Amino acid sequence: MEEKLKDSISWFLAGLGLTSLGTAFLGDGKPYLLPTAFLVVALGMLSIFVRQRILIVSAFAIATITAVVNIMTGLPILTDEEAIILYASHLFLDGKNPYLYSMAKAFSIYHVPYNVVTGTTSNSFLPSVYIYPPLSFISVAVLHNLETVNVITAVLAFTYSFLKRRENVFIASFFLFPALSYDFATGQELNLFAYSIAFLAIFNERLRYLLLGISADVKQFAILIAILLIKFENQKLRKITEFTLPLLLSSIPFISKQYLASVITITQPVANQGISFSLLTAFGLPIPSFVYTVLEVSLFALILLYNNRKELAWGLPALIWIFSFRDLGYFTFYFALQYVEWMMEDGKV
Amino acid sequence: MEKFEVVLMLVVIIPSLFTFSIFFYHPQLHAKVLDFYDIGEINKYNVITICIQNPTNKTYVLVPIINSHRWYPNIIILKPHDYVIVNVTAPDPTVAISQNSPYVITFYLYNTQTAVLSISGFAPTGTIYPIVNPSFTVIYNSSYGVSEYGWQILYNGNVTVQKGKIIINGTALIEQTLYYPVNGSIMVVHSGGEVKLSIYDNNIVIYAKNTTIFSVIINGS
Repeated sequence: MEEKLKDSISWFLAGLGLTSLGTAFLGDGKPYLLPTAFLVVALGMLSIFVRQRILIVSAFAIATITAVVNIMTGLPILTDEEAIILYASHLFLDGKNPYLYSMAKAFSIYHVPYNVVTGTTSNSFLPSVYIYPPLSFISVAVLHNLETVNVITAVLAFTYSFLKRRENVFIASFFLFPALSYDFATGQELNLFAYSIAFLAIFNERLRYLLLGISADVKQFAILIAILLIKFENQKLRKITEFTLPLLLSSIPFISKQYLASVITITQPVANQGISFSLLTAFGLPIPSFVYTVLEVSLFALILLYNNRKELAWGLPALIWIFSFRDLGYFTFYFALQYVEWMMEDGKV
Repeated sequence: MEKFEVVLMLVVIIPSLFTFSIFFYHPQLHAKVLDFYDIGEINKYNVITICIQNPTNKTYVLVPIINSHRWYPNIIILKPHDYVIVNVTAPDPTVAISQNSPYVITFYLYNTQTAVLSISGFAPTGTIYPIVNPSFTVIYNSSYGVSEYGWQILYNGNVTVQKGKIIINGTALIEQTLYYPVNGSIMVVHSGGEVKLSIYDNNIVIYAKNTTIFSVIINGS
């Protein structure tokens, strides 16, 4: 009974994942994407009831072709994160250390629509600090744009999960963490890159900490998972070394005071961006921002201390986002991985 | 219930209950929206006139954030036992407020993530009348630089775009397509060199030679 239910959930969420992926293309205003994007939506909905792997595989293949066409026909810069990463990758190619430069110039170079620019309260008016770890701009420097980086890593994760007969759980991620759909379709951010690598870490216990380290070298999310997981390992020091290796290696050329301040502590004074406990600040309550940090850290410390189930390490970090100052947005990164972990319990290497 | 589950319940639910403090908080500063304006007829409100009162003995340096986006002016200085009436201006039409849509104006303390006051509500609906008061301005540049959203720069020579200014050695044509026909006056703030301006329909074209342009100010008609 439980197996049957699990199977139904996996097909249902995979179908919704494809629907989410196809819909992300439909908003791009390119009429020539309509047939293939709509086919992805239709095949996704169909696969909920006609449970054939070929439907999932062909729908993802069509989505990949659509994404490639979308990249080749050009896309505008849609988020401030995209502009900032592109600018940092150009600085890197010029032999400069992006952490030492103000990112404000990215906005005038790439004409970012103002409604997607994160509000700051500092003199710079716009976000000016590069807050992402080095692999973000290095990967974009190599592959030219965020779209290509995202699509290649997603195809890699899909292929690996297909070989393990678990492609449904990867595809479901596009529904459970909707930002992945937009990253695949239009490359707005590097969440899909960070997610795909963390996804592979669930499958492969041997390379788990190295993969989590690579994911955290793109965007910092996986650090919280690694900390919660290490508690349950026997060879703690070895695992910590494996995890920190990618970040340390890629960081050496960029180490500076600014690097530490921006990547590790993320000190830029940004305004509240969405729905979380910090709405209290948006509604004018004079709560100092360190209160949110204290709440987040305390909750995380208690989770670390009291959690006695290893498999929950993937999803539990989502809870601390309740008290995040900036927004609630990225908690779904962890919930999508938790779903994968629960679905994968019998399929690991 | 496991011990871990009890701990999680407590640490999530107890802080969440503090959200009810919003009912008991009375800010020391007071603010009121006096009016909403649609400067340049973009069919959205891009200037909001606000009165802020400070009955305390402290001086406040505030930054206005509307619906998570920074608006002008850069800072509002509020002296003790004083009040200011300030025109808060959208830096770009994409963040202007639509009719009948919700808004939250938060006044953060400058350079912090701490706020002291907010006012919220729904923007009014109905016919938006043309602006007759010519003292309102919508400034289409700032720290963004002149090459901010929408400005096209065609040049022959060296053009350097810096924060808040554009330096032209040689000649440049700077174009902007506005969201509305220009009826009022346009002023290019620059130093030295030569600047000529022409307007056709919704387009502004600035010819610049060996000069530094600081801002382009469009006055409502």
